[in-house]
Amino acid sequence: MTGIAPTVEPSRSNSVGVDAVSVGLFAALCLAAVLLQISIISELRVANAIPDLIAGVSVVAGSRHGALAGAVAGFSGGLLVELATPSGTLGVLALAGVLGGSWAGILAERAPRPSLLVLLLRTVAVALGTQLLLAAVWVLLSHTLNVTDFVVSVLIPGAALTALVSLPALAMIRRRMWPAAPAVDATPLVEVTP
Amino acid sequence: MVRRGVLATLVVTCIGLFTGFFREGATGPLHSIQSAVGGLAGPMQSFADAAIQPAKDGWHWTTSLVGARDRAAKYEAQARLLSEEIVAARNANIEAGIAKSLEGIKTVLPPGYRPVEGAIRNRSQNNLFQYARLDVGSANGVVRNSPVVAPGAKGAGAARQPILIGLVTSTTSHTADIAFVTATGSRIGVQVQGGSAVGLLAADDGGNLSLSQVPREFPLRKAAIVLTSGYAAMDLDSLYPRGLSIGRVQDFGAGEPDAFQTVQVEPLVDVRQISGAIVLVPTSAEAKRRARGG
Repeated sequence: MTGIAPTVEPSRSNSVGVDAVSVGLFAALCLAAVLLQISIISELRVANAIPDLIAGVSVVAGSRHGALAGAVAGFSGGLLVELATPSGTLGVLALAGVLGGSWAGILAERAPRPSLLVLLLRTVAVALGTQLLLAAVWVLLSHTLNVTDFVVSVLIPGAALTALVSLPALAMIRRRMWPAAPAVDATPLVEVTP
Repeated sequence: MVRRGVLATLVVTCIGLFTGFFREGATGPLHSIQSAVGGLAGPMQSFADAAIQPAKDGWHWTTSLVGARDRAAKYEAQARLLSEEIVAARNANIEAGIAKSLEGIKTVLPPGYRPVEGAIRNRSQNNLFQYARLDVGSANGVVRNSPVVAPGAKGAGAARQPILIGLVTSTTSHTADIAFVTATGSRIGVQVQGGSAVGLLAADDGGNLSLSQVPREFPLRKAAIVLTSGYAAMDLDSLYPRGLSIGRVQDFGAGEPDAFQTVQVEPLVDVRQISGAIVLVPTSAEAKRRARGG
């Protein structure tokens, strides 16, 4: 009697390879996020802050398909937002997207199936990083920055709004992109030979 | 290896775009591309605006209920101050030449300009008091350096005085980018109502307005209206016509040994709150000369 041990398929939940369907899906997601960001989301203002949807897109792309996909998604989203709005800058949001998306991708290599909380925290962190980068550029251009005002009226409300707006979207996306693993049948497959 | 190469390329591209954008002038190719894409995004933004309008109305209705009492007191105070402003504008000899109907209320505008009403379609994503994009453009006659005003509160005779809020910095056929008076680097030749204090009103990085280098002996009072003087440094023509209200004196003062005082000015309109504006398109020879920069 010989037995064949059950083989376990390696997890592909964080596969670096990106197929055409995923590319199309993320392109549509990115475009939808940009359209929402420049139309509806900019109405959700608290103090001087608005939510950052592009952060969520780059984090999801990075967490699902790796650093490269995250960087490309963040670059595209950031650049489109800067091109479509009178932001006074070009390349800064794109750079923030590249850094945020690739960072999320590198983190995802350690934990292939992130929890909703982890995705949310990463999104908020990328949104905060984006604002800090914008502030750094602002100072770099010889402007002054009131740190207290920046923290109170931009950073804190921005992080809160981003978390609030991103939470339902991330929950939905996570259910679709990281479906729960099926229960493994513990019964060993046994082949019986006479 | 490939991943690192692509990431490095993206980062270098971003830095290149950023550097190029700031090194070129306002009419450079990157600015032109940004304007063109902004023009393309305009219809989509209009569609999205129309789609969410019911939700926005519902939200505004709800929030208006919540803050109704506070706002009533605030508007009462504003109405008092803006009544003063109307009197001040008359004293400054604003030649009321054009009356425009806006939401059923007449707006008195300076002569030599044609009003073009536009809705704000977008704003700068950071620092909301700096820039915005209107849904009117060169097809409506809007040109670069056209002053942009918002109607003040309703005053006597159902007239609303125009409040200067910014200047058109670039246009496409159907959009116009405006820099608000509170945008960093903004400089406007102004005078203080009821006194001889004149100078350049400047905005700092935080969107605060101030008038510096005002001699100590010049009389000032709080809540006095600050108006455009019609000229800038060295008596050169200003981009703005004379007599448009901008703000009111919030505070002023100087250190003991100083010969000059600094005047803090509070804008009459919070540009973060407005949803529309009126572009003053120059029609007279003088107005067109101002728009060309003198």
